[in-house]
Amino acid sequence: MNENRDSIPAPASPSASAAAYLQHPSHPPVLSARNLTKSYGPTTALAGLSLDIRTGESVAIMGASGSGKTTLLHVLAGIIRPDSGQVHLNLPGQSLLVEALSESARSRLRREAFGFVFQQGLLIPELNALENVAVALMLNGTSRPAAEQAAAGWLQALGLGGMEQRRIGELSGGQAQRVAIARAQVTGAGVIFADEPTGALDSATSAEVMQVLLESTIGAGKTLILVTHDDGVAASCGRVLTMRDGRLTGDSAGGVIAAGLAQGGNR
Amino acid sequence: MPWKLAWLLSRPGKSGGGTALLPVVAFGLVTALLLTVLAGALSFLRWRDELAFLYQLLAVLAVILLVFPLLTLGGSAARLSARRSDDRLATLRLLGATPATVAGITIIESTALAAAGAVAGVAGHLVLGPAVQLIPFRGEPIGGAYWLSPLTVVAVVAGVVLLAAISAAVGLRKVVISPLGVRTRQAPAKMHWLRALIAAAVVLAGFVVMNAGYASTAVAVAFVLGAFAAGLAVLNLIGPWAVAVMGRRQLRKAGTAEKLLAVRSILESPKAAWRQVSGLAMTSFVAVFGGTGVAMTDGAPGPVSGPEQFLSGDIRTGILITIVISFVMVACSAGVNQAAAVLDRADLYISLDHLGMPLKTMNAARTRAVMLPLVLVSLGSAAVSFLLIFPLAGMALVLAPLSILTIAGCLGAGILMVWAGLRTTRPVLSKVLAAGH
Repeated sequence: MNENRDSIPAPASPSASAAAYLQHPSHPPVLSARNLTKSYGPTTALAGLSLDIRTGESVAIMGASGSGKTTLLHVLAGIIRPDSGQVHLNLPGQSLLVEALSESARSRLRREAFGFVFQQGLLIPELNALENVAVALMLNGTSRPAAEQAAAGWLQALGLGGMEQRRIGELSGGQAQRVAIARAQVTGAGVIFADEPTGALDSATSAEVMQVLLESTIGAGKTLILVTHDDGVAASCGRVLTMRDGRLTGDSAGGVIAAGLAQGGNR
Repeated sequence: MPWKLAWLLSRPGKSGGGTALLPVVAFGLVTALLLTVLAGALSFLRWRDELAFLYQLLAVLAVILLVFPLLTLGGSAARLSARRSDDRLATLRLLGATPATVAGITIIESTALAAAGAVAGVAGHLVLGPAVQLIPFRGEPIGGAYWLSPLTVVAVVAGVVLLAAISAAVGLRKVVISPLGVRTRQAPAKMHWLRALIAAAVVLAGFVVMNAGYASTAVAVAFVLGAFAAGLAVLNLIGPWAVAVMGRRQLRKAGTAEKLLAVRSILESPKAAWRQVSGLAMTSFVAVFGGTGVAMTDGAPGPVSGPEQFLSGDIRTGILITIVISFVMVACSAGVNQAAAVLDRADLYISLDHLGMPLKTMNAARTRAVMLPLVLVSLGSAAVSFLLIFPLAGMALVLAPLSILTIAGCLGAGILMVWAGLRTTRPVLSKVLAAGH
């Protein structure tokens, strides 16, 4: 997945032709889920759910607590296996059946093909901002100097230039979330998963972080899948899925922000 | 109110019964070892001849040396028992419980776990008894002199329980249990270079004094005890600073994720990294110090009859027992601390697993974070001790290499023991990650 260990993806948009090819309706969806089921004891989290997500889409998954949205995110990302059903991942040049992979292969997949942003950043408190981002690349075998150079580029691009040496405790909530966004993307991951990425932020910072997240993902032709309770956050995505009792109950077009950014990514 | 709440909260939380079992096991070990060390030391009181005082003095020195790692282990166990109900305590704060009530609950819980562990430790002490009774001193096994009076046993149990209560209270001062959760993170402490300067001055003074020649035996004993005290003071002064310096050097060289994580974890609190292994520093220091003396007497023709004939062998036995017990306690302390750290940072570890960080990397980083200061401390303090008595130690190495090699072998085996102790905490991390799935 990442053959040249020191070939670091730069924080830039893909070429217009590549983005247009991957987003074309004739190209298979980047993620395709079929008849997913998952239960925790007597509780059903996923009840035969099917879903296609295309490259460059920003998808918000909404629903009440216990509706199964985080379980869906975890199954799509290969963190947990469904009880039944399939998740196909279609990357340029390869197609994978995610749940058929071993534990270590799924771990590698998450490391190299996916990026993650969590509710409270969950950054490593004893590392500084630069190291928190660089460590994602170092896990893939990239040398530390090359990893830190790429990490610095991402931090700069996300408005954190000059804050590289700050520890996480010295950053505001919004700044820490930007570091988490940089960490999620520094490996060149094409699909970014976000679990309540603005859940711990005030509304102004939340809007700011969402803007950064959307610009750096779908603005660069990547795919963003996020779980949220926040209508405002969902509205900023291109597509909103609603869940109840492990089933999709709604699938609608989202807001103008995502549409504008996606067009920008295609330019 | 704290009593009732403590009772309600005593049911296992989401992290299961393991978090309660760990401090109980740790307190059990502390009690068993403390009772055994004390029983061995007090058994020396049965002698009344002219050598008895020397044996009793050495026993007291060994007990003093072992008390430090015991206190560290006790403190680790108390912190772990305080940690296990963090989430529930934060909820209580959210519901309006005062900080005093929350502190009261934590202390009661820690004390109860310590009491359970201490009682188990008494059983452990009794089980160890037959084996320890076989250890020979002055040509005969300890035998029946090993058994402590019931009053002493009760006093030790009470002491361990009190230690747990105090450690929990002290530990809570570093923890902010707010309604939104529990925080312990602080800015990394800066270690001043002045510590090294003072330590170097003390080492120099010690070196000069030790090589100045002795007017009488009393002066020689005073010099030796003074050098011993100075050595311990130097180790405690220089230890955290040396750990920080080593950490900064390693940070520049850290080329992989696990090395970076391990070194940053050490630099987060060099004092804590030092405290975990400091008991070992003193033991290593004494091992070289005493071992050299034993080697010197081994190399010279000594008495072949009378109580003196056993002295050098007995000192060697005492040193080896002290090293072994010190390492057992450091291994337990490191294991308990690591288990507490994993539980403390469960959310972070789960997120790293989601990011795709291999379990192997997480475990390697945790192990390295303990082993780096451990190796530095055990070998570094042995080197300080060697330097302080350089002419004698050099001679001992030539005259009786086997004695010195035995002690070096014990130090090496001890380091392996701590490594093995850390490996036992791997299932804790695996369970935490499995819960995240």
